[in-house]
Amino acid sequence: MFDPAEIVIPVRTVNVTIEGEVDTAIVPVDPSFEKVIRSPRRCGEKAMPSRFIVQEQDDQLARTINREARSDPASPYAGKFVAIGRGKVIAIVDSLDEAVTALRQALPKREEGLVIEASADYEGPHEIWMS
Amino acid sequence: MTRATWPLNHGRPMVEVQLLMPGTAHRYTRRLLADTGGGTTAAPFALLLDEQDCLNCSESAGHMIELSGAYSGEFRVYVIEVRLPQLNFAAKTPVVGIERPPKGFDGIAAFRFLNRFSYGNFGRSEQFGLEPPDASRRSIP
Repeated sequence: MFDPAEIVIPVRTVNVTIEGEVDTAIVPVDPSFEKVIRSPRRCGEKAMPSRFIVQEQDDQLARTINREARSDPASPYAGKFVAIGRGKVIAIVDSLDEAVTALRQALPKREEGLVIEASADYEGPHEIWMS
Repeated sequence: MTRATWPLNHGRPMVEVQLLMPGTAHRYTRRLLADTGGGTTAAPFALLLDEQDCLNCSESAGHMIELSGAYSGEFRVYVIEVRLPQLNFAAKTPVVGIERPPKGFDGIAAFRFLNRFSYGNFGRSEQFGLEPPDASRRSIP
């Protein structure tokens, strides 16, 4: 049995006319996938993140590291940037640049893995009040 | 003095940045609402962009983050190379992918991004601008 969270569906953007309105649509390259997803900018629907399918184990590890770094100043992760991939810590470095470089060296596909600012507050919520 | 200024967009402060598509020479110019109410300096994001731009231009995914206010819920942070050529600024930047940028804009420049610079209208009401943070200190006797 496969994990739906790890499926990446190749898609392409096409111009379509739907009910007389010209629109862009994201359609699967493989026609056996019949679902058509409209551009969210035109139709208000949330787009499927078709290129970045972050594994749940990477998100879980990121959450664990983040909570440790924020609660323990002596943690090796505190104040650092961490690259995570395939459920493991790939690198603990001092900058976002270094974290992305280390991640891409270990996992060349940009849709794999993730990087976090270990001591940042991801739980928030962070308020966005537009001026 | 190096300074980048832009006319107001629909009467609101605007910043124009360039996004780089990884592995190509393609650069995309994006108009961002300059929003000092967008998060805090401690927020793990500097910009908010249309999620499709994030998917196209991101070098890496980041962690999930919770927002409230104009955007509510959980959103993914991405890492994107962002440039401001007028200020010789280029940096990998944490960006939140959102569904609907503000009308007339491609996204939002949040407070963490704006606070890297001196910002404001610099005495001209029809514009908004950024300059290096040490530039204004040099002008203070």
